[in-house]
Amino acid sequence: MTDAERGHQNDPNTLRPPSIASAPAAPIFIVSLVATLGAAGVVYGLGDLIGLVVAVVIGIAGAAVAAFAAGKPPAPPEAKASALLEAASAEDAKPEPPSRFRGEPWASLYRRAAGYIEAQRSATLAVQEVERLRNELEQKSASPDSFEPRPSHAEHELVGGGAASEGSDVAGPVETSGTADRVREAVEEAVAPIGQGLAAIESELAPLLRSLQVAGTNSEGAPNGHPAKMVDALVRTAADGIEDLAAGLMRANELAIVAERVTNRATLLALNAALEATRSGSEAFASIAEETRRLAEYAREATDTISRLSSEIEMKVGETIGSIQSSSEDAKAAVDSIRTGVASSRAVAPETVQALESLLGRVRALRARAEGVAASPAAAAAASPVPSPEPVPPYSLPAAGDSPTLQDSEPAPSFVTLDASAPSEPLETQGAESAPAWGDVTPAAIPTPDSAGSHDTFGSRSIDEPGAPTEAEGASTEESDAAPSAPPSAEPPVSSSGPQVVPKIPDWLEGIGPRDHR
Amino acid sequence: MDQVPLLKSVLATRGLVTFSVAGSRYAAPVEEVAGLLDADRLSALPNRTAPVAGVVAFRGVVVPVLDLAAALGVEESHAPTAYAIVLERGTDRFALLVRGMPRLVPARDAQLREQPAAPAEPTETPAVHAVYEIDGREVRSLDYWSLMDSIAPPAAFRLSGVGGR
Repeated sequence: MTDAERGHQNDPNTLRPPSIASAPAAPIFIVSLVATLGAAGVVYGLGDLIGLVVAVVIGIAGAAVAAFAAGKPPAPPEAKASALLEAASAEDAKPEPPSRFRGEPWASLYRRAAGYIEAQRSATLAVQEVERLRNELEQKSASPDSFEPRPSHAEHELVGGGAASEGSDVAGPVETSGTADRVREAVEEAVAPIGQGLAAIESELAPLLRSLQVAGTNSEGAPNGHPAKMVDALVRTAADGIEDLAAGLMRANELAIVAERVTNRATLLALNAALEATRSGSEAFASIAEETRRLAEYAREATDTISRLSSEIEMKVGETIGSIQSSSEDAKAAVDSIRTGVASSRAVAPETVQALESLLGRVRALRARAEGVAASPAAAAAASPVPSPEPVPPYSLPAAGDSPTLQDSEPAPSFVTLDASAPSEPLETQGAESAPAWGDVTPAAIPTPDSAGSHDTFGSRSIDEPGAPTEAEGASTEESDAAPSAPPSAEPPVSSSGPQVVPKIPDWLEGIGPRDHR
Repeated sequence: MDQVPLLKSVLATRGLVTFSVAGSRYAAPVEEVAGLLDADRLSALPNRTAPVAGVVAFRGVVVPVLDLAAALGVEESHAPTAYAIVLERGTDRFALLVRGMPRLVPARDAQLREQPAAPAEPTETPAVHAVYEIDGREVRSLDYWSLMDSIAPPAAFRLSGVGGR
């Protein structure tokens, strides 16, 4: 939406009533009168004079009433919208619309307006609270040696509204120790979750970084990578084992051959003994031949057993060798895959380690900062930007890629001014479209609380930004279509020169600290 | 080889030493077998010609070894072991080189078939001394001495002193 379109939309002269059209009174009166006279003529034609008179009187009266009713201007929608807005912004406004706004689209408009106004009040209170805390810290940093508890002025600010906060950063000298304690507790309570979150992130990042560094060192020390070398050595060991096993198997076969020879000799001896016994017919030779034959049979059985076992061992060893060779091939393929993976990961590892180191350094700096603030609010306030006539935000989050520490050169977060006396003009806030005037509000033109962002202001009666919109506003308006709730760190800084500047609530401060002042 | 009819008479030997040559079974009577030797004790001779395989020492005497397969003109399949069957007749000894372990078969387990008639004309094959039937298979007993004489005359052995011939 361009500025011209927004201006045209905000122009009260271009307002149109929703659907009511005013009918002309004169034609209605003439038509009604002619119809009445016509009816009277019919009655006269029937011969009834009294009826004629009555018909004429009734016709004239009805025509007059019809003309009056037709000529009465309807209630303008601008006025009804203003009444709706007043009803919705009343202190005792109810969520449900009153009876006069029961019809559509006024009922939905009433509900939305009531929701916006409620959210606006909450945001106003939150901004006031942050402003109060900032003022406390600024005063402490201004006089760290003579730190004195503040009076209940800050509390008064929280209850009294935004107008009372004007000039509160130069509050009077009356301070109490109770306020200082509450400030310290509030700061500690606000910072403690941050420190815990940062510590958790650091505890997650540090082991990851160490593991990556160790992995990088190992991959640099070993050309092929440690696991790859282990697998390669395992494959070589398996190959050596296969060779040893084959050699042992050959020796076992030689042993079987020797046993076979022994058996043959024993058999030959038994045969010779039997031959001599047969030739001589001697019983002594026969017994010797018999014993020798038994010995030969025993040797034969033993040799057969040895040969069978050797064959079985050879078969099993062959199968084992085959499986080992197959596994070795698979292992070699796995080693090649690992080498490829290590080579590819080695190219990315230094960048990853560097990025993690940078991230870990930022987390540690943020954590140290948070711990420092929690331990000594005065010291943290002294380290924060010095209060000056120019509005300085008490907290600022670094943009992506910036150092997380607070520096004077860092861009200040966006601001919205708090001015109760500002005219009722459409509010231009970054991250949201220009707020439409309540007079021409339509269901489509009213932003929902979700789409308007959590820190936008609603309405233009209490929070407004004086002056013309900055360049950043235009850019942020364009960006709001795609990302209506952009993070504060990504928003460009807006220099404000209003009577009093209140920093927007950072996202990370959302839900932290005492807020229940409503 | 023609089938030889069995003789019903009693064997003239106490047993037979049987062995195989080229798938055929042969036998020698135990009375002519002096002993059995392992062929690894065989010593080759220079300028030897088939069927002489070499010489072997048997009981202090050098005995010539005759390769029976080569003498019979048959192709013998390769066998892991070879043995020498020392034949003895008087003081004459020589050995037959055979493949496979010989067997000793008692006479009660062998049946003698009828001896075939001698051929009218001499043939190259050695004369069959007898034919036996052992375990349903035909076993021939050859005239190994005439075979040895055809290869190495006794005079040659007598001059060389080998085999006591």
